[in-house]
Amino acid sequence: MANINNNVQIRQIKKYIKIPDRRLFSGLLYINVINHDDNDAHDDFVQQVYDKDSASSGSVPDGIEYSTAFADGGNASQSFIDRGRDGMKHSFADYDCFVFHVCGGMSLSGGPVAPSGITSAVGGAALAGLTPPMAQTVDGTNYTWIDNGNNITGTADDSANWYPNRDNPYGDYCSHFVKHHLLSRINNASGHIQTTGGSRYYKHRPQLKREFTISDDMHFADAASIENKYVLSNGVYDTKDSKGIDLTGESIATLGTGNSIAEFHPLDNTYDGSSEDGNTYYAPVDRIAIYGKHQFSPAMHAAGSSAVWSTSGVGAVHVTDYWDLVIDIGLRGNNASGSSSAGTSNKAIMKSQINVSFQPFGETQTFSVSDNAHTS
Amino acid sequence: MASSKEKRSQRHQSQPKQNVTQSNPRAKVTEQVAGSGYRETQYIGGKKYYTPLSTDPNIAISGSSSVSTGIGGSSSVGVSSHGGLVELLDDDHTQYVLVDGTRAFSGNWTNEGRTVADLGVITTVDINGGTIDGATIGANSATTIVGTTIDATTDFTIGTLVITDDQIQMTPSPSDTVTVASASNGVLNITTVDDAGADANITITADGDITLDSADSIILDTAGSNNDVLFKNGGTERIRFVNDGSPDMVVTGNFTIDGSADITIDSVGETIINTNGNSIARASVTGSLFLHGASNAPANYYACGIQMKKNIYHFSTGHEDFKENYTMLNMYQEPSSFEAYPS
Repeated sequence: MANINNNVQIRQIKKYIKIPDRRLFSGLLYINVINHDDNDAHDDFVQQVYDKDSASSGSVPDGIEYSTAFADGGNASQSFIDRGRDGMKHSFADYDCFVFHVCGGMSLSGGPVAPSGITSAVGGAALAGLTPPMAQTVDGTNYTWIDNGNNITGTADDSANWYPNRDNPYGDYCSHFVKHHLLSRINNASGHIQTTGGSRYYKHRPQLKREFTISDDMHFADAASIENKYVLSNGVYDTKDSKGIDLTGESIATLGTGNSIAEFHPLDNTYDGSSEDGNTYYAPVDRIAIYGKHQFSPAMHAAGSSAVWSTSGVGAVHVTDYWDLVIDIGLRGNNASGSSSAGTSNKAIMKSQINVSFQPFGETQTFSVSDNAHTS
Repeated sequence: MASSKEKRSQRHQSQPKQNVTQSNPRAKVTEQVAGSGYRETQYIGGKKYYTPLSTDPNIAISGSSSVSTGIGGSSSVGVSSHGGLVELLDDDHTQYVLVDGTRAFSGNWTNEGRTVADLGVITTVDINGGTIDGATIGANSATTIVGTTIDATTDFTIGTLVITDDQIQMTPSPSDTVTVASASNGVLNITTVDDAGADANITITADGDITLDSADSIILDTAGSNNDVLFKNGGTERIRFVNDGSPDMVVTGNFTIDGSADITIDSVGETIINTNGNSIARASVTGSLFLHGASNAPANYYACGIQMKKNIYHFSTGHEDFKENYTMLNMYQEPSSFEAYPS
């Protein structure tokens, strides 16, 4: 696995769908992502980087060249490969489409869990009496925080329970119960072969689908066997019609006489690992995650290496009437360092268009969609 | 043989009584003188004056002589000539109307069949019958005329108001007129004219209902640059019909169409429902329903029965919370930052 680059270079696109507490839904989620550069007809991304890298003029941006898609395990840039599609304007083939069955919801009834075995401090005097002190008095009666000087007396901080701990001592029984199952993923990027020291294209991560099964139909089932499938792509690409007649240039890319390009392979479904097929385009999605999230943020004040925490102090947040279903689309990202150094991403590796369709059926039709987590 | 006293008395009582009234001064009476005829007797100044009328006792005389007695303080004989009468200014004959107008008629008077060439000025009159022809009433001093029927062959005029046959016309300012006219079949026309412009407005102010109850159409026909037909409530505009080539109904306030039966909107062209100027529903002539500003299908393509243009919140249906809810949310996104395409 030395050639696998495990640096996560992802540019996240998130959609937050606000949903009321404890509403079960089940529905389809479509996610379509495609290479798109203002609808101009470029060559596909893999062919484009090869052409520009080998051309006398022009170049591939370092952020692309040293990204995990094209660098090896040591973040060394690799030679790009000619796929024989120069001039074919196949950038449209750089798509990645997912269909998920998404089910569940979120329970916000449990709420925060105060730590056991830790005595809380209530009021400015008690906070001032901690070691180290978290508060200080200004006149013998009123108290302020040491870390920011804000008043304790007369605010919600004065009556809150403050638990001393460097780390957040609170638990939260609220939990999302969202599961998703990949019904299908289709792209044209499953044909790349990893090689060492040569031209390569790293498909960073497949999409996981998991099945819990047993071997027979019985009432007293054993613990399920778990089967994980790491899906690069599904899908059949027909090259023949229903009668078995080969499709021609009316349907698929072909090369006329005298225009043979040795590297060119049309899309095919016959890949058996022994030879390349034509699925060597670029899938712009690294991975997709789908989960629930609600606001839970206890208030904290620090003094030195110590801190106190409260779920009812000023600034503490815990939302219990709604949550966000997060559709987290991890696009392939660049290497922001622009060199062989491993680096996180600050850009997507290409401009893409993302279409998401969520069709929930269930206990609510109350939704609000945002690019950011809902705060109200 | 001389009659006895009793017989004479009986004979006297049986004789006709003479029409003599001595207590009426200056009154003339005709007396019959037995065996001598008739005479006229008149008391003047306490004296009795006689005027022989007939010597035939068998001839009755009625009326009075044409002779007046002189008023000289002494007794005189009858005057047969009117020119011989004296002291007429004493106005001894009150039965006569005086030319100075100081004595009114004491009874009803008729002048039937006669003509009064000039009645002069009549300050008070009560005409209860007949006709008045060829007279100007109120020419110099107008006052009230009351009648059950007042006919005019030409017009009635009050200031600028002229009432003629089938028409009432007012001219409140020069060349600006208001005309109420009738025509055949009972047609009523109310016409206003602003000679210099188009400000001859008509205002009807009723301290009660105004009812237009038509056996046929009610037509509001506007023209000019301002074609609006307005409905107001207490001075506040509520409904405005912009009655031009592209009619529009502008409503101020909530507007409800409440039909007791079906309500049908039937257009030859498209039927469009807008909110705030934006198309929300458009029924095309081909029967497709375009929602939220959805466009027609491109040439050589077909629109579906329902076409919708919507961002994110496309469709939802359900019974109620927790029950039977289905929603379609569609989202679009592009990464905010991306590497330049290799070039």
